[in-house]
Amino acid sequence: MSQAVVTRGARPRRGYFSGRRLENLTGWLWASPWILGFLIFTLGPMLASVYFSFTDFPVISPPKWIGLGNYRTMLTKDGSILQALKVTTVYALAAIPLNLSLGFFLAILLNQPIKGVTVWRTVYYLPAVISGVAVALLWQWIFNTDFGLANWLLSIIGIKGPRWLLDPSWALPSLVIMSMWGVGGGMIINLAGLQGVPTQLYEAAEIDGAGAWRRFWMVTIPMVSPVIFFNLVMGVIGALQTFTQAFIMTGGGPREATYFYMLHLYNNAFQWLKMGYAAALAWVLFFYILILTLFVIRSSSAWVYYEGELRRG
Amino acid sequence: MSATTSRRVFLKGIGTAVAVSAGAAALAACGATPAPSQGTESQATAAPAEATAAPAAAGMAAADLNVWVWWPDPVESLNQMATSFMETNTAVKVTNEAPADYWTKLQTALAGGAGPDIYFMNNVNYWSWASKGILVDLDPLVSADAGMQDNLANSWQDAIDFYKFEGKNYGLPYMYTTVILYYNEDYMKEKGLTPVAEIEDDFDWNMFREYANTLTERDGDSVTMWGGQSTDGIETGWLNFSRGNGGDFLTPDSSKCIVDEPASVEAWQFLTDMRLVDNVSPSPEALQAEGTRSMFMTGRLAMMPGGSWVMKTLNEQLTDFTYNIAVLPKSPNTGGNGGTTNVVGLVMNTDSKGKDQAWALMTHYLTKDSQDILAKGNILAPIRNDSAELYYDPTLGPTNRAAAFKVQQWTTPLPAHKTVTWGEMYKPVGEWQTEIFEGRATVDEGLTAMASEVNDLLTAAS
Repeated sequence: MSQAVVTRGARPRRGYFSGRRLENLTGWLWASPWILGFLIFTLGPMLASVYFSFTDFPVISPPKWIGLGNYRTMLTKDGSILQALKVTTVYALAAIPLNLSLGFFLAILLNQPIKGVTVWRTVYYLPAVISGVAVALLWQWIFNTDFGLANWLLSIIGIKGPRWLLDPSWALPSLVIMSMWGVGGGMIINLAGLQGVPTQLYEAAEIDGAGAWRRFWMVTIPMVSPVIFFNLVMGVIGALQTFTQAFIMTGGGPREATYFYMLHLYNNAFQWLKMGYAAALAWVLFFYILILTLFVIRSSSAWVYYEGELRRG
Repeated sequence: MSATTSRRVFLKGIGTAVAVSAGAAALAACGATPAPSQGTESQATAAPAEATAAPAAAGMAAADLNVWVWWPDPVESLNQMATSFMETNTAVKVTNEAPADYWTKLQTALAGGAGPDIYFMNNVNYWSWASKGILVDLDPLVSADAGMQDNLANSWQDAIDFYKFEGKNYGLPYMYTTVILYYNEDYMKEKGLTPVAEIEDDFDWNMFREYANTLTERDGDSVTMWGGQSTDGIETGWLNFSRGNGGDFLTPDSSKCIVDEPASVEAWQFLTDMRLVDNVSPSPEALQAEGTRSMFMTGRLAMMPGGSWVMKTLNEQLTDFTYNIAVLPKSPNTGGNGGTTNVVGLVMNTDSKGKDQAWALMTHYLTKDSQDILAKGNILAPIRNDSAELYYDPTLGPTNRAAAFKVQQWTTPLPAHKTVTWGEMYKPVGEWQTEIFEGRATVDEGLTAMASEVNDLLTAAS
């Protein structure tokens, strides 16, 4: 009886995990598989690699501490690192804009109310499902000088095709062209973004007298800019870690024309018994990617529009 | 934090996290392998307490032994040898494996303390691995083991000597390759040429070039039959010719690259001219579409230098024409031949938990019975001279199979260095080789650059 009195007089009691705390807990629980995976399988090896980067570590025998020796070697003795950085950067500068624009263009096309659009979307996305070594081998054939599809198509219009992967001046452009094979991945994200643009915005713009081009620039582009931003960040990261194509198709040649940074890292780690040096190379690449990504993120305030964002000042 | 601003923050966070994760993946790959334990045994004292000859191994304690080899062909023969070993040593279980991506897997397995007890080694890697102190010094075991001494007394002595690193055997040779000239005998006869096997003692570079020109068939600008391959890499290509002409890649003490010396330059010029002047050696475009061996087997290449291991494939798969082999053409300047061999050896892991048993197994794998099994398996030439005759038996094909043995007398191992790995040394070699054979660099320019870059590596390593 007295309990009933007490209960009636007090505010309803809430558990420790309720409201905001419960929300936080739920969030952490949902994220926990990734967090645990990161701590166990990534952070540990990452910390180990920090240590290894200061050692002479041939993998098959214990590491020996050499301080900044690996980093000094990078700056003074490694004749291939500059070429590797140059190749990787040039590739990224060419492949990222190409893939971003093509992915966006395809998404716009496949966002039109055309017959069989689902089939077309599947067709354009399909290549992105196949990746890695299989694609590298496929493109090796496409770029074959004598029997390849690329030169056969060019021959139809009377052009004698280049030697592609055999020619130092064409090898890297060949890989840039090949990078478009995976454009379906970006396309599908762009498509999702385009379909999320509210139609009333277009209607309002149309009532205001905006033509198709203006609607595209003033409505479509701002509304999907977060998606473009996401694709750009992913593109930067992916391009700077290019490896498989060069490893399978060219081995870095001819004349180091396709000697990507990751290939140099792999060679040092697994071919030349220099895991310590490879760890140092990996950290340099890590910071290179991080700096570029941070730059992209900082620049986003100037060109990425968030629908519900509160602008200060 | 308002819901309206959180989206940007969230996206920024995602971007940063993805960047961090991506970099982390690369970094994790370089840090995922813990260092192997050095143990208390040094490379010289890691021998089992009591060396045991194979026949006396009947009462061996239980052990699970793993043996790794880098290609699958020998596994069946090794399993036969292991079966007879396990019949005598019932408590020992032997597993022979050929894991994919052998060298990478081997490195990481050894680093993780999970490497095989015995593994196969090639001579281009042997010195750099032996120098790391991860291989058991086998000399004390050999000197205490009459069975192994008998094995070695019947084996190719040069190969045993090669496996001496700084005076000690950290590995023992097991089988070896040689390089010979393969040719399409039917086509050669059709062209009215004497098969090379019949004139191999007189067959020199000039004759090789003449033959290649005669054997080449053209249809307008395209070549339908290439006469002779001259642009192979170091192992089956130019080093054999360079050595025949008195040159080499490294000095005998491996301290300097001498590929730019006149004897080598002359050999390279000859090979390059076959490609660029005569156009009788397959073009890069042709090789891009199809490998040399495939081109030979499909009747579009008449002669090719190749390793002795190719005989097995040709014997099993080639049905369209008769092929034969001969020794590689000799140099007209020196009158001598040259050759390279990759001596495949057995080494023991210092971390092996069953060194006594592993040693007994190594001894067993080198007995005549075991080496006979290897020879009959037609994989590579067994290191034992008294088993080799089985491997070189002409009934296994081709008819001049003995040529693969004849070359042994002038064959020397592929170059190796104790600090600079084969892969690192080969990078500039491969690059400049392509430049020369594609005509983007002259032989002089290319070899000078190649030697310079290799010497830079050797100097840095010293």
